[in-house]
Amino acid sequence: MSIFANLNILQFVVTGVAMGFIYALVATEYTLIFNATGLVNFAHESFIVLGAYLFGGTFVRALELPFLVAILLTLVAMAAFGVMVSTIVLNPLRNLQFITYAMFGTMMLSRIISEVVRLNWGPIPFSVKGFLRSSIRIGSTVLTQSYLYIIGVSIVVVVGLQLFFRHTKAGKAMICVSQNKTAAALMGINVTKSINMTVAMSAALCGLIGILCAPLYNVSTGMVSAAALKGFCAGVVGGFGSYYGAIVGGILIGLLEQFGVLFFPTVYKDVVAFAVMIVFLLLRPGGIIRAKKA
Amino acid sequence: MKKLTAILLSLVLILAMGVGLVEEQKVYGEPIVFGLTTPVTGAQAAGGLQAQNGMKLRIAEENANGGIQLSDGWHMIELKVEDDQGDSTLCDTTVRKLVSEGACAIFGPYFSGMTLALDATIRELQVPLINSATSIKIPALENPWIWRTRCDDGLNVLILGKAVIDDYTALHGSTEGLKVGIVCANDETGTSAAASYKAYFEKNGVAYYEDYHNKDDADLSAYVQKAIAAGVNAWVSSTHDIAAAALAKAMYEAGLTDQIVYMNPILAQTEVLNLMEPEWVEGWGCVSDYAASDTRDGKDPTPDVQGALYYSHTSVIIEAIKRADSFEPAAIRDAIAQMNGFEVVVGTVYASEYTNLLYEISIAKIRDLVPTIVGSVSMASDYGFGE
Repeated sequence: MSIFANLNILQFVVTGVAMGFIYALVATEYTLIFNATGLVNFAHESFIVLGAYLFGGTFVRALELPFLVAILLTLVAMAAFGVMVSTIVLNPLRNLQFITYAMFGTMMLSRIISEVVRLNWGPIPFSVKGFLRSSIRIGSTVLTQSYLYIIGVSIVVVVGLQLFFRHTKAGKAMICVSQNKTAAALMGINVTKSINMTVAMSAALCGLIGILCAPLYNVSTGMVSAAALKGFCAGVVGGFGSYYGAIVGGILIGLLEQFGVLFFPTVYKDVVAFAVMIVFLLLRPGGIIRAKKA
Repeated sequence: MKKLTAILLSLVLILAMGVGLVEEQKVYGEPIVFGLTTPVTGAQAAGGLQAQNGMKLRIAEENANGGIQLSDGWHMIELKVEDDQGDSTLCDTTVRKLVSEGACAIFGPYFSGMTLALDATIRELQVPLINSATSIKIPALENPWIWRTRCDDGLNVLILGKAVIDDYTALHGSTEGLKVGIVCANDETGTSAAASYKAYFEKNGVAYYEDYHNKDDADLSAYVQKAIAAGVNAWVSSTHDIAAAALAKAMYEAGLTDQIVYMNPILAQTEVLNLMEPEWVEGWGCVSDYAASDTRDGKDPTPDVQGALYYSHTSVIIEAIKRADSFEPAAIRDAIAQMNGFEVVVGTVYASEYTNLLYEISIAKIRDLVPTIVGSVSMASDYGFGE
């Protein structure tokens, strides 16, 4: 019991919430593509890694651009990459007879992107010096700059997406496409263009996750392997297809895995998310917030 | 006068051509093939790149001198590299492929667990294998074909454990109140080291707390918080690159900037230090086969640890081939087994009955992200190993 008495519980809460928002962003990205195409994009880990390398490897380290400019260029570049992937891979894949083939297609895409990243930027991990690495201390609790940005940016992204989907013509068109592509096409919506736009937003979001994760995990090809899977779990737990569910699921998993180490050996920390997902799939497959698609 | 000059110049020219002709008379036999199995792709490719660089440098030096001279003529060295992605199963295939392509010695694999997994394959193929694996379980295999030009964890832990106790005693006068946190990876590298740490601290009556993380874990904040709550006030860790940086970050963020921390050689690797901020690891210690401030080879002091190790492995095999006057695998193995007092970049080779070739290592302290050698320990002279 003495170990519990000495623990800084607030630190566990802060870390759990911050990590939860990372998982929430990943789940949001899954949800975007799932709603648009009906596919689960298993290449999204590589998208995130690509965003981190573009930001840290090219725009900051190679071109020595200011962080803000580098962030903007990364988001633009990732959006353009998203359009390319949508046109060449996701749009053709979604029309395949069996969705399993399409899933495998995204897995292969992931491998290709990962190796292209390694060939282009090399296999040695690196850090982005001076980027969101400072921290402030309140009593014995540490608030890192990166955690604060993760929480703030995540809230802005989710609220922004909701506003976009509800109050813009393009957003409403995306919802129509996600609900019924044939009906959307009959209503005059360009389905392919709408999907391209969704994937572009999703890829830009991946770039943003990569940027936010760089100070947490450094930049390497395996930097978000665990976070990417846990983001999927967050989506399932929160309710696949629901953006608010992604946030709820992410924070729940972030907190559970932090507090789980108090009761289990720390090495099982990464197992918590998967155990929780299995429990939800068995008992409440619709997740905490049952999805109403956007 | 002009005539005399012309005659002299002609003589010089003829002599120079003669020398050239003598050079061209070198008789070259078939190339000697070295096989490297290492991660070229995947998460561990950084270590694989360093290994390749170290080997390529040493081979280029040897080939620039004409290659290896044996009694049947000269032989250039050819390096074949196969990508095992750091995977034990794939590694078995890459080793078999390299041997089928004529490799007379295998360099790698990168991890101890992979080396253990190759035990039966290497016995079957009967080819020398040399690498930087540090597990204490490898000598126990008693495989006469496996060699390491590196101190193993059993010896590293003696040095690191002693350093922690010495540093704490210097500050507090005794080991009273010392509780060491053993934070290790949960793979072969970490668990075998942790077992040695525990045995060492138990033997010396020092309290400890142990915890294990996944090899590539990038967030160790929960581990650090639990260790703090358990009363840990000094730390030892045997882990890998990403996790080493994560531990440093988590400890710094937890305000642990004045603790005694010692780590396995990973901390001295350039690519690992590049992941950190200077204040995270200022004053941390580690054992290191090679460090930026190392001047033992009198050369440019910038190569990475893995590069220096694989440069040394290559030197050992080249020397063994020269001594055996053959590049038959069995002859190379026998020549290695008789190697005593051969100098390589990372120390002096003394072959023991099984596996170990090196019994010395340096202790380094990190100063502004540069590992600085503060002392060397020769296990051969100080502890009676090897010789």
